[in-house]
Amino acid sequence: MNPGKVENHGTIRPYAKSVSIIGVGCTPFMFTLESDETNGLTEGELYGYAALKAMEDAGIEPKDVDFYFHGEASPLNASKYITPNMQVANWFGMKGKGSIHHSEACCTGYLALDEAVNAVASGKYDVVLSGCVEFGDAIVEDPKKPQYNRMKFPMDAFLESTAWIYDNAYTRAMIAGPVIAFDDAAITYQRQYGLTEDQIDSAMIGMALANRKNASKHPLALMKVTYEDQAKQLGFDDVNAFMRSQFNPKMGHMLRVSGMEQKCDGAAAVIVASTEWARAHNVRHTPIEVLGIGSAACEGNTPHLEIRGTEEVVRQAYEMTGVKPEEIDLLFANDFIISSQLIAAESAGYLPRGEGWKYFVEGRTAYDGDKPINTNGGRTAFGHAHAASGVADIYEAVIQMRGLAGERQVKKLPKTTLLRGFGGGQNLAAILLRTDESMRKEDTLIDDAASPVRMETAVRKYYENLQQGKILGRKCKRCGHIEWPPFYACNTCGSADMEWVEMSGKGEMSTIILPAVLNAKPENMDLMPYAFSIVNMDGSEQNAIVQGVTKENAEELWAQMPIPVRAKIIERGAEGKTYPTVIFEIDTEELAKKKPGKQ
Amino acid sequence: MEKQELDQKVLGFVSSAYKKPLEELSLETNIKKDLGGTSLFMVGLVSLIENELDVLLPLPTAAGCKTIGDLVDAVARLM
Repeated sequence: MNPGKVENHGTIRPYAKSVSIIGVGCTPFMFTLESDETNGLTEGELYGYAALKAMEDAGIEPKDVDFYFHGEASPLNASKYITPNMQVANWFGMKGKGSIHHSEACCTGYLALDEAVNAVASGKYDVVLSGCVEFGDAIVEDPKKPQYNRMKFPMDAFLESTAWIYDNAYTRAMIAGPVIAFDDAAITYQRQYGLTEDQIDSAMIGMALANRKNASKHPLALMKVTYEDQAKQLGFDDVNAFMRSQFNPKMGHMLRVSGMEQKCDGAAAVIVASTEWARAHNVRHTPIEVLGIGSAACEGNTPHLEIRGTEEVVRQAYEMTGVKPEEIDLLFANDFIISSQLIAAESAGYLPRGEGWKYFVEGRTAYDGDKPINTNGGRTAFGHAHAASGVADIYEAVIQMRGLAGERQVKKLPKTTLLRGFGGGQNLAAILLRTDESMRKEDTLIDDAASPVRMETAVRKYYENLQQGKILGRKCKRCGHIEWPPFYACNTCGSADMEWVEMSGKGEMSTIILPAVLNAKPENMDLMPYAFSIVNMDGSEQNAIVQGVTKENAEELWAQMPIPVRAKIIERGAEGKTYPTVIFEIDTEELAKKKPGKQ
Repeated sequence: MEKQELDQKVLGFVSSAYKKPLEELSLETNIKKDLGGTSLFMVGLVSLIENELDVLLPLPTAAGCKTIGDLVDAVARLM
């Protein structure tokens, strides 16, 4: 059996400018709904935390970053967003800076690096942030309520939307394309190299065992219990018997439950800079150069698309950089279908063709083996927050290349790492990273306990306090600016060292837009009379509604601008689904003091 | 297959897929509320039903079952 090749080859050349990764950040991969500490986390909070951790890791601040990319596989599912890049910047102190959203399903995180590196290599920017976020488990409960209200992503809804990845002219109608990928790589490999069904099954079980073993040593991983421990708990002395039991059934032609992704919530971010900039600015950690990235896209009805696409992206990456397969020290494969590890490892020349399966059976690909793969636990154990997973792999690669992976540190400090991205009907990528030893620093872990960057459910806290009659903001400890509504970082000076404060409730409005047919929603008629305005409360400006403004008094108010206003907490939303929010009303007592003759 | 035998088989599959002791399960057990777990558990459960009973229960049908008893009924309709 010959799986064939991609027909059309692009031409790619070395980058015009050397680009390096200078910072990485990652949230835990988690089921946010299952802990009170994380239940209610929003897009901005997940992305913002990862972005701020990446900046802290680089030793830079938001003002140093020129542009950011935002990746998410399904913002419509997760939060009913269409342009989610715009909604996150305030959380990490980059309000107003340029950004682009992109979406390539499970390959998003790998192409996130491609986007950022191209932007710097072109010479347009010195420093770029690229992050990805995904809610694979907790989606918005009701698009008409603030998004901290989330619920489990139902299986039927997930499966329905997964089909949106695929072509709807021909592929979905022809049925096989969206589902053949679950088993095609394993079956093709088995037939190509004459393996028995038991041999390929053993190899895939070996991958699952190694992933769990790796994840058990990773503080950010979703599944930290090894299969060995789980087997013992369920009365099995032999883990391999457990892995072939009813506790781990085959759910595809070959694929077992242990070989399938664990979809979850999470975010990760990376900061890249020109290597020249990194050298000149004494960044905190050893810069990791991005030597090259190959990419391909094979529509879902392309036969053997994972195998063909992987061969092509690896070819591009090696030709672009001159790197040889024998130079690869560490490999990552986006393995939401676990057989991806085998395909990626052999295509990259990391494991010998037709023999690679034995390495998995023998346990040689775990973090403590001689051919480590997915030292974070991959998609089956670290978890799969779809878009964010690729950046989480880059995070892990960088930590390993710095030598800071602790218990799961691979035996030989990796100098060159290859990451194979895959996903979304399907996009593919091959990333080559290398440490320039001339720029090696004394890398040390950042003390998270001492860091001002915290992941907390700020949105939930804000609304819960509104229910108690309190309006909260967050005050920057460095410059004194108050972010209201509250965000993680200060958009004036960029500091993440913030503290909660109660707002005064007093402000000033500075414009009047009267409601009309176009902008007055029927459900807000009970608030009439009001105007749309800009209100400054304690130094923080927001668009807001101000009651007490009419067509009749508008001109008089314009003449006295700014007009004093006071905050008012009201309930909005349908019966049984209400939530509190803040509007304003004219502060007539303060306004009276402004009348001519009283100033 | 007798209804009682099917009940016991499906209860056993749920026990394996969700890794819950059999004695904690009954036909009245609410799959979402009482069992929780990840969506992958449900995929495993449906896979077990297919592997052991040769009944291909569509995932959306299984996901729509409120209790284990509802699931047994859905399987029975396809046997």
